[in-house]
Amino acid sequence: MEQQPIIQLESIKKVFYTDEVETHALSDIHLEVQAGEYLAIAGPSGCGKSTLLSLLGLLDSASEGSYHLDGEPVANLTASQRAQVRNRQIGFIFQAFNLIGDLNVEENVELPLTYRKMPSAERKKRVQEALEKVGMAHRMKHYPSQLSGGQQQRVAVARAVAGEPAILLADEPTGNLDSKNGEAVMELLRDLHQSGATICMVTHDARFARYAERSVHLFDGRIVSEEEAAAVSGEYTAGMR
Amino acid sequence: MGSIGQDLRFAFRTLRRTPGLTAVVLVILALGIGGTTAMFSVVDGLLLRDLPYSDFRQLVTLWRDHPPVLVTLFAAMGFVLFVTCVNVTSLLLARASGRQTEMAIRNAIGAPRSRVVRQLLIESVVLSAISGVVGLVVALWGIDALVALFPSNLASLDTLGLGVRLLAIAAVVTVGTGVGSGILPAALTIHRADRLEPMSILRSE
Repeated sequence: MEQQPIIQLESIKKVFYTDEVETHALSDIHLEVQAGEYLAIAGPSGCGKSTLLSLLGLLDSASEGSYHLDGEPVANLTASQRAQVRNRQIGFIFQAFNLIGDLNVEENVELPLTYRKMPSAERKKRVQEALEKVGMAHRMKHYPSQLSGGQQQRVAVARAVAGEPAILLADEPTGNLDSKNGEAVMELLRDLHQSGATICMVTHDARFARYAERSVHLFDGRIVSEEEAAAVSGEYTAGMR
Repeated sequence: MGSIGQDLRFAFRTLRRTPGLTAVVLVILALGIGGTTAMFSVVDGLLLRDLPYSDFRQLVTLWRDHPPVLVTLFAAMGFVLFVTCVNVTSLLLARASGRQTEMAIRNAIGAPRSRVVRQLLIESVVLSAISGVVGLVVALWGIDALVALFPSNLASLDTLGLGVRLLAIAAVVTVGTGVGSGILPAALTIHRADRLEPMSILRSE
């Protein structure tokens, strides 16, 4: 029996209206992502990558088409239902890290769990595990401003995985990092994928797109090509250094 | 309870991050809460409380014949509290507009609206609670100043001062002011968050 895709987009269209201008950000997008898959969404600036990620992350709605997340249609959910789905099923990793500056590392990672009415002991356990996974457990009481960019992104990854979401959405996760820290974050994402995480990553960097099992290329709001990529081997990453 | 503790910790840190604004809000709130509490205490002592006389019911009819005095005093208290809330609300609104990124992050990680509203209300109630303590001192001074305006032989004024009744009045005024001045910024923050494109904010940092 064929496995049901965790993400299923059919004939997705997104149009922005500003005054008299109609901008077609996405047109006729068909996309399926299987559980456990690592997908890269690549393309030049302005091609619709972040709009697509907004739709996948339920931060925006499509103008037309259908979106099923884990088999459930999400088009007609209310704002509070969408928030609940984001909290339980989606983990975000942003280019700008987007940690809350007034919360320390532990509190930042714990924050999405506090929105679930999860018992405190369970929250603490998950936070500890997530931070150990990204190698940041020793920085629990530090504030984001006391960490390097690479460390902040690791904490952001921990926040994304602490809730054990169905999918991880990464928006240019290496964009604000130098190449060494960028590679470290990519290795971390690969480790998470190898332990079963489903990842959709937006990137304009072909080197990092190769970490994914499959890449779709967007241009002018349309998927223009799709390719299976061999997982990046140790030789490849060694060659990039 | 743990998440309320986190909201409280966060509220204190947020206030500490903007010391100038926090100080101005605290002063406005302390004066407003203190002034209102003082006026209400005097009104309470003069007109509402049973007078310390054996046949006090006859005396009570005096103020019943002059209800405008009571209305005027209550109107003055309401006005002081209203002006306080308007001033604090406008300052909190200014602060809220600088927190779009934080709200976008909370939205992206699935914060329910009720939790964001609670967070913002806790911040304004924390502000008013701190001000309430300072306001008590202001209220005691205010009571002395107001009592000096009345004849010194009024027995009912002798009982005014720090006590359970004054603390209860101050507590009600404090919580009311905190919620009253925080509700509009909280509602507007939620309204703004609904209208913005979170991804554009989250990418722009």
